Amino acid sequence: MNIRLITLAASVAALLSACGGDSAVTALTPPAANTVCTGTEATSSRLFLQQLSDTSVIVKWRGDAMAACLGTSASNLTTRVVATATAGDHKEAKFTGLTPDATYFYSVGGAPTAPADQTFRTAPTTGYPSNDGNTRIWVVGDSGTAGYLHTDTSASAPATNAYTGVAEAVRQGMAAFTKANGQNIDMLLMLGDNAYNNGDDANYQAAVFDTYKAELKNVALWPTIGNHEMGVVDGSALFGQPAGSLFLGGLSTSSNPNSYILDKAAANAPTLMPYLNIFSTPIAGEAGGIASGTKQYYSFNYGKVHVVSLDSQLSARDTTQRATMKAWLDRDLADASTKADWTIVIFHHPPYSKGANHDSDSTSSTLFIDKPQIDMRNEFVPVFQKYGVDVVLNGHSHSYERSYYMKDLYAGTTGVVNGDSKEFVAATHAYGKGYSGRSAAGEEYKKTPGYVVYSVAGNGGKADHDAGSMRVVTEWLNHAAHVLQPFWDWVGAQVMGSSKSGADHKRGLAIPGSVLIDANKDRLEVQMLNQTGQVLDQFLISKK
Amino acid sequence: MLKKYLCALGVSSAVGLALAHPGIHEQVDVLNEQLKTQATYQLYAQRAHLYFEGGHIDLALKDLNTASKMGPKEPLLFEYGNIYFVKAEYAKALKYFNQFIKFNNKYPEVYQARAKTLQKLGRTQEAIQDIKHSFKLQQTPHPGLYIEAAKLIYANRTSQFQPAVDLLDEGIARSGVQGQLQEKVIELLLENNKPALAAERMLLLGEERNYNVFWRSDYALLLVKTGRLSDAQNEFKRALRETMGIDSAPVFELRSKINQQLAQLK
Repeated sequence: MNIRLITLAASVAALLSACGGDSAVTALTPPAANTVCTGTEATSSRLFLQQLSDTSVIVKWRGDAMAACLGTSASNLTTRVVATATAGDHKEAKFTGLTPDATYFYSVGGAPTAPADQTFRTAPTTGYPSNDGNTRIWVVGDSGTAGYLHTDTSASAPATNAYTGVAEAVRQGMAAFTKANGQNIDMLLMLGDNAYNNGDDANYQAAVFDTYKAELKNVALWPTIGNHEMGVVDGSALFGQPAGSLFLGGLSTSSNPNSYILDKAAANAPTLMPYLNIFSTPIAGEAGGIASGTKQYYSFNYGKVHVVSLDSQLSARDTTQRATMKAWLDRDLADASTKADWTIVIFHHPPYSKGANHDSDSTSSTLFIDKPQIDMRNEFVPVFQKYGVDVVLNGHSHSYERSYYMKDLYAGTTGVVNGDSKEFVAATHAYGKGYSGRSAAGEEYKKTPGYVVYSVAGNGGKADHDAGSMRVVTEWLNHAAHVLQPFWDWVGAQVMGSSKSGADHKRGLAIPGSVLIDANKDRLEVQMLNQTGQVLDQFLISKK
Repeated sequence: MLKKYLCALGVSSAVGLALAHPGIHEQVDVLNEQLKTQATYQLYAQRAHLYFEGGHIDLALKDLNTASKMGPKEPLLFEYGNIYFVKAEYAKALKYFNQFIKFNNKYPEVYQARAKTLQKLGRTQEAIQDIKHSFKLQQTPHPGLYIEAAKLIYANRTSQFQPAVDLLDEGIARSGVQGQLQEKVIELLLENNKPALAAERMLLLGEERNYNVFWRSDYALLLVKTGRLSDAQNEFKRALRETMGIDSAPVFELRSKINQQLAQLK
């Protein structure tokens, strides 16, 4: 069991106020279904899709409505499900018995017709490709900056901060690309730190439900837990401020989801983290993966694509919980290897990064709040390799970095002590001794057992401006296992045809953006998009 | 130092501090600087925690003692208990955990910590009660907590494994998921030479694991342990048939292992 910095704050909270336990949760009851849809569309402050599978979906909202209707025609919704009230003042309507890879329309409140934007497509049957032959996955990391201001509701709160509008611009970049490209996204993956500054409900409203409102009505959101999902601790002393004056998010080292403290810890007893009330992530393999028994980590299938969301923030901080998660992952990936063409894994803490403040090498930071970077690398990378995971995506570092197609850079393999950057040897660890994976360079990767690409995409809501607390500044965005970005300088300005020199090149980009993945029968293509939808990096893994 | 962190954020407002995460050594450095000019209860308590995280137990204890002279001791009791647990002074650790529970009886982790301490003192039944109580305080206990509790109970067994199995079964019933808890049951049964029961438990896992070829191979291996060699052979053969047409390296590897098993069974 971990010992927690948060304990002190929790104790103070308990001393000064009545002790609180878990937040109250209304038990789920089986939904009743009928075929009568009458009424009008109800307003909801948040509306999103969860656990979307080939045959079922949960429509979830916050509002007064107590039912939802669904059908294959927008003008004639035929199935009504009475909602269940769930934790965090949400309502859920689960529709089952749906047809795979089919378009549905839905209303909230029982209306017989669906608003034009309330439509989704079910997943293709597990193990079978989609009808259009492609699965498009949009990935944003550390995208929660739009919720940052909402922590401070005082009259003197500033109207904007340094990151206002960044997440929205990144979203628009993706939208511009997909519009020009003619294909919409099929799902949205969030890499943690989804709602700054402390992952509270107001943060989530602004950073997730208001920012991605359009997407969330059409595709399922599959999140993972970041350090900023865990509330705050009193960090006043660390920065010379009067005690109780500065509460910092992102510093919890607890493995306990019930150790969440909202704000100004002295006045709040610990409670369950809002993330677990907001999201209805699978516990029992509801969307096709192996049952995990916890909402903190899970997996799902989407046709021939298998996606795993691990918990590097809580489960990873406790030895037994981490081992349990690893044992589950082993079973889950074994199952996926019998039916999936492509496997993608997400979690928050990157095993390989030279991002500002989050150096994955064995440094002082990785002894404490960033220890999951080391543990995930040395304990989970071998499992990724064993079962043919193709791409691992992380956030935490507010920049874009992407590795070679690589293997065996973790503690205990030949010639490797820690799995640090300096231990990377292209000839030993990288496919093609250092292929970039880029189609234009003729260096595409051929799918090969044991090789994985690790990408950091924590640039969905902000980008760091410098090396931060890294002790060796020149190491910033220069992890040896990461592919050089020769076409752009580190802030994303085009280098070719300009006077920029090689010295401006780094193995990463400090600009906002997101990642788009296209998976079809024979190819997995990954592209990094900037705020205008321009592709700044690309790699391809081919089965042929 | 502060300026450096602020620069790392690219902002000058203290609001931005939350997006940076200095490491433990840097944090101790900062606290040391602060303590030179401002010796407060909170500074010592925070440095104590950092020292504990860094493994400097005696320094942590020293800071806790200093803090407890400057402010309320109650918030420090859990930390005291943890320190004495690490120092293997279990009776002292228990005293502090008991005191903390009088102060805050809704904190699941203190019951888990006290359970470990009680187990070290040989008071297994009380440890089990604490574990069960900690589960009641949580909405959805992590499966790893059940497994850790089962290990704790089993480690203190005389010749009994049933209490650990009962606890795991309770976790399965509560979550509705077999998963790693059932796998732990199987492990305990095998350790106690109960392969037939283990095989029965493996059958319960079949649906969750989609009766896939890996599960079937695991089941067949248990049948071998029970001496049901013909049944084991049939399951291995069925698994082998089911691997046909699957183009994946892990499945190729499994096929090779199954063939080895079948060769041994001939």
